[in-house]
Amino acid sequence: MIVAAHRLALFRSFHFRAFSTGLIGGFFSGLTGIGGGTLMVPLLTGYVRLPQHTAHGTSVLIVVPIATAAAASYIWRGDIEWDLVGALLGGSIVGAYAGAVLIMRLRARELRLIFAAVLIAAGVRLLIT
Amino acid sequence: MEDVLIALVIGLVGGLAAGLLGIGGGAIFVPGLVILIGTEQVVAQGVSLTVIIVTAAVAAFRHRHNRTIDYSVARWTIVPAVALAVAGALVANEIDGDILRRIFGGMLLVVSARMVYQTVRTWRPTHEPATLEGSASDSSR
Repeated sequence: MIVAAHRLALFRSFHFRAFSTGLIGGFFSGLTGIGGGTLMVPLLTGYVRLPQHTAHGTSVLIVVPIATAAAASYIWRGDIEWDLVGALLGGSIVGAYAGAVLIMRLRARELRLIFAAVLIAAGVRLLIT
Repeated sequence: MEDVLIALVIGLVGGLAAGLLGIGGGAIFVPGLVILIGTEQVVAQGVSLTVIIVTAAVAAFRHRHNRTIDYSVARWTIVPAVALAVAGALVANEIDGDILRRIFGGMLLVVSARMVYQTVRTWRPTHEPATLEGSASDSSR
């Protein structure tokens, strides 16, 4: 690692790695409708080298403005059903808070395996539809 | 009425995924709405994204309390992410969605297989602190 750090300091810099994670996560988010977090969490741990728990927390914060930008265009076109939004929010606010509490009770490797399982399910579903 | 209950449960599961896994929850909201309630795909995506704004904000609020947010990373990530999200949405309108989804699905499988492999390979049956793994030995931050 130390030897590699001498090569191309810019491309190895922390800011560059964070910036390109944003580029990749944002692009695939807009492209596929999902995928902000599914790509950003592995990039934040493997490339930016954040600890597992911090990668999940940081990712979910970045998801907020991405979803806002993306949702705006759907709402603008009228592809929205506000009754459904309300019903989903009723469950999801409780779930989100509970999940963010629960995360602190899990070890990094447990978290990583749960995350991988969800990725596999999402990947298979995308492949067959 | 039944639909409202189903939507509440989909919301709960997707919300858990958001808080626990750092993803928006769209991977659960969209198929949940389409398969269980019969929502049109494009409307399901619109509903999902709107819900995610609030869901992710609630999860982030709690993560702030956990101290599991790295703001120096977020500062450098948010601007390119939003810009390219808009660009990606424009490109998505121009090309075939089915091919796109398959490419992305394949990519997720590769990423997750790699994660499982690395986790199993570095498995140690000791009682190490939960946050030690994944931080690796890189000190350039």
